[in-house]
Amino acid sequence: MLSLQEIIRSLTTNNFNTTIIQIRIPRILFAIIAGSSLSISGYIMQKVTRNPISDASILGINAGASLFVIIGLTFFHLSSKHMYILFGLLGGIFAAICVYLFAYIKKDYTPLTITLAGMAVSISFMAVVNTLMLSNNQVMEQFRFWQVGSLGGMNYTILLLFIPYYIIGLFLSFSYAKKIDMLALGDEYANALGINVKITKLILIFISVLLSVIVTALAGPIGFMGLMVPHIVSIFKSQNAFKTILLTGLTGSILLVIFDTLARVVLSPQEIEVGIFTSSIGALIFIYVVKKYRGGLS
Amino acid sequence: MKRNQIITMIIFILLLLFIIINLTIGDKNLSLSEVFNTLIGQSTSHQFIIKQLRFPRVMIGLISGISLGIGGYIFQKIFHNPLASPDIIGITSGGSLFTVIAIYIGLESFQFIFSLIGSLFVSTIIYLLVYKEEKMYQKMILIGIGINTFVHALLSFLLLKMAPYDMPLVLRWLSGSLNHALLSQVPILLMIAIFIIGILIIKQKELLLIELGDEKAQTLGQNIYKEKIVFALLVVILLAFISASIGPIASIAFLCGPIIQSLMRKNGNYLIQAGMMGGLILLISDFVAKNLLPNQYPVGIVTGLIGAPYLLYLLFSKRGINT
Repeated sequence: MLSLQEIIRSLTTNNFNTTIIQIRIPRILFAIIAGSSLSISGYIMQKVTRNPISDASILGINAGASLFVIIGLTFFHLSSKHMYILFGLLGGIFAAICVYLFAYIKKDYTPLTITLAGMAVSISFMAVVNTLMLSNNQVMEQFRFWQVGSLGGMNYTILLLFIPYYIIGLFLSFSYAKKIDMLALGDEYANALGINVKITKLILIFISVLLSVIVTALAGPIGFMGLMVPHIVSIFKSQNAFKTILLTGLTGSILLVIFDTLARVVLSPQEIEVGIFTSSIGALIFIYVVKKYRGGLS
Repeated sequence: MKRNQIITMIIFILLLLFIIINLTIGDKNLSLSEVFNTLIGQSTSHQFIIKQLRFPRVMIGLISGISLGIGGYIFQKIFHNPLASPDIIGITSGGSLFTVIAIYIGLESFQFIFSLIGSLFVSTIIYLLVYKEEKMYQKMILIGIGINTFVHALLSFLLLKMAPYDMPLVLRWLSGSLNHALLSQVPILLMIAIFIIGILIIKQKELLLIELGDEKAQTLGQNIYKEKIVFALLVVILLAFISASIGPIASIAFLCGPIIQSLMRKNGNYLIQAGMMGGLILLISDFVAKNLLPNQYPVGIVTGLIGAPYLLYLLFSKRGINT
């Protein structure tokens, strides 16, 4: 435990506390940007699929990233974090394609179908992940910490790696805010307003996958942030996508910082990995959302 | 003979075949007469391999497979959806969580009880959350999946706190493994399985009524919810015992029903066939896991790998998951 004074002093001078601060600062920074990244990703996903029960972990995108990362670890001996991101991204896109393809074949884009499809994709991918994980004790060791989602090992190198992707994702989401508003009017209206619905949706899905997969690739799956935050933000009843994205991002940052701090101190000196924390709370919120959900469930 | 009977016969013969194969083939290949003589009590040179290793493994595999097949089939019938199997909606993982807790706090000998409490606990919660809700069965699956996620988060937490040398063992148990099947487990599992499956077979006619759908059955004067609860409870208890002894074996509960349904021509009640199919899949998977794969994979990994593409197929096929 450090007092504020000590923190300020150690930022300017050099003593033992400096080391502690130096470990904590990148972690908090990462929580800030990861929180907003995941939440915005979830918001976009919910808008595009018109499904209040969706985010990257529900639609199988995290599982896809896990699958490709473990394939990379087992067969290509991944070492650089860039490769983690690349493999994660490919996996996420692959999963999104699977889910989308399913909805397309069924001609059925209702929330329940898409959610079930995502879950099924997730379960299938995780079966393969488990197989590969057990094949090799070294991979298992590496992977089990990655798999739960932890901000414990954050440092400036990883942070710097993350930032360019984050900025691209953020920039894209804000510049597509207007189109999200148009899509919300319904496909036909959006068409009439002169946007290509299919391509816009694909781009939006790509943005959403990008924003969540970069976090997943670097910190492991931090589940359900993308589900939770948009539901919390909906309290503000903001109709404008630009504002909502901003609010969602901010709320997500604050929330993940709180969660990470709680995860760090609740059982101190033990630490709960933040991914475990968010997915246990998120799962409860998921259950709540499903229970409250009325309307076109099937 | 009718098509359905022929298929039933084929499954039965295959089941017998794989019982024999799993008893005779392994690191050391034995002859059938040798196995048979040992089992009826004559002393032979491979007594240990047969009596202590292969026989319990095959027996437990068989009992578990049959129970999983029947359990999954009943769940799918009473909840009208192929995804409504106990392993997908979190009941099995509830049992696993409590079992791992038992291992964690050093109460391994009470695994059965812990597993039972865990499964019942999760089932009760799901029941309370969805009872008489609108779109009850669809919501049940999603809520079950949510609970499954929640339980898995707790499980991962426990796993990370575990001593690293406990890890591989627990992880292997969690994938479902017959590698540690013990002769001493056989009698109790056999008794429980025969007892519960016996009741289920006696009651199986009511499944047909349930299949008609809630409203129709209701008009026939049956209290359908009560019947369903009895069925679900029996299955939960049965599977809790199975998963306490060999771990949560993936996919079998969920696979058997749809496979049987697509093999049989008419709609009907195929409880026993689903059970035999479960036994067959588990024995085949165990054979593959033991003999064809490197480093003794747990059998649950093989069943999981079979289940994965089937789940995807189910999604993409036309009949598919009926939402």
